Amino acid sequence: MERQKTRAVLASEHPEVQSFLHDLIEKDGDAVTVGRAKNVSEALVLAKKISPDVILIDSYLPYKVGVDKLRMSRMGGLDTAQAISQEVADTKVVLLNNLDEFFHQGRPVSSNGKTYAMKSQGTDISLALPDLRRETTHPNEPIFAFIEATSEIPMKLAKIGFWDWMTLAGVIAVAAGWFLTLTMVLATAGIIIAAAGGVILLTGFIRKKVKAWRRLHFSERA
Amino acid sequence: MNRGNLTVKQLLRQCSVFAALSDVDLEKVAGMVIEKQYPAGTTIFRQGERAEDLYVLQEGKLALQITLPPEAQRQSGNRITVDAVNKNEVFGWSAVVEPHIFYMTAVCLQEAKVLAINGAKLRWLLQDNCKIGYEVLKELIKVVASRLDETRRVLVSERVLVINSE
Repeated sequence: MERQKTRAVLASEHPEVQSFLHDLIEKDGDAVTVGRAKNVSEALVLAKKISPDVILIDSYLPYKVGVDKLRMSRMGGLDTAQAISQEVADTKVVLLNNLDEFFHQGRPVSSNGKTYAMKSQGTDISLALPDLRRETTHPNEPIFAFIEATSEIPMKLAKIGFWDWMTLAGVIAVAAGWFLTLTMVLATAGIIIAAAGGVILLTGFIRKKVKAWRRLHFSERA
Repeated sequence: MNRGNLTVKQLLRQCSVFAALSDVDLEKVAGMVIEKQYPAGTTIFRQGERAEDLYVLQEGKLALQITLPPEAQRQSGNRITVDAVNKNEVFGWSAVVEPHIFYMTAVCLQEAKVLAINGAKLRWLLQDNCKIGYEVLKELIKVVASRLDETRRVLVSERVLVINSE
């Protein structure tokens, strides 16, 4: 039976931030994005209309977009998170308070080569549905969370193909072959040196015996 | 509190409200400070509560919210964020200014480390030493004016939304 995925709504003014959050929550296969909101009004309407399992909210969320010349407040994230926590009972609200550190005007600051995790009070937030439903510490309060850059992206072994493995095997075979050849050459040299040593030893021994025999016989005759 | 090798006096010096005080005067203020730490999501004080302490934010980020009266509450939510507090900024100025009642609610968006300055002791010092009183209140008025300006911005935003939606 297929596991039920967490239905998530993403609320941020910037499409790039929405995409970042989309990738973040779907990478483990626990959650699926069912809606996106770019301001407070849209987030409230979406949350009430589809009651998602979770809504991720950028703390810098404007009440309305497209009227930037009025220097409107962009601090609507907390207000929205509090309102949804109290009014939409089945939706867990995650308020992300440091997205501005990773994005400037929607553009990533330095996202290359990093992996990211969503954390609250120092621990990872799991978006798996059973874990989310167990989260009942403060049922009518948002979860105050932040994004943490955890590490460099690890080498993905799954991407190494058949011929990569064959190349590696070839390199190992060549190295082993050379090692064996070198061993054989050294062994042959060893045999030759030992044989030469044997011949010299034998010659010396024979000559010594012959000398002794001659000395014995010639001295008897004399 | 992880703050390198800085003393409370040096930390206070980084805050605009106390930056102009002499070392001796700053030492007096430093003696009234308690360092506090709050997890993300904590409400440090609520609108309407008695203001006991003036705070200087050392680490983290705070939102200041006003609670709408019941007759003015909107379709969703009864709290509006009107300003944010960043590092080395002062909040909770009601501890110095009568009637010592908070006009806003302070919520930690991130884990926050603060210097809490005892309001009663600080008021006594400001009253006792006119020079300190002038320097501190001059800077504190700027903080109050800034809060007023931010609140005005939010009010304008709300008006625009109402006008546009009609």
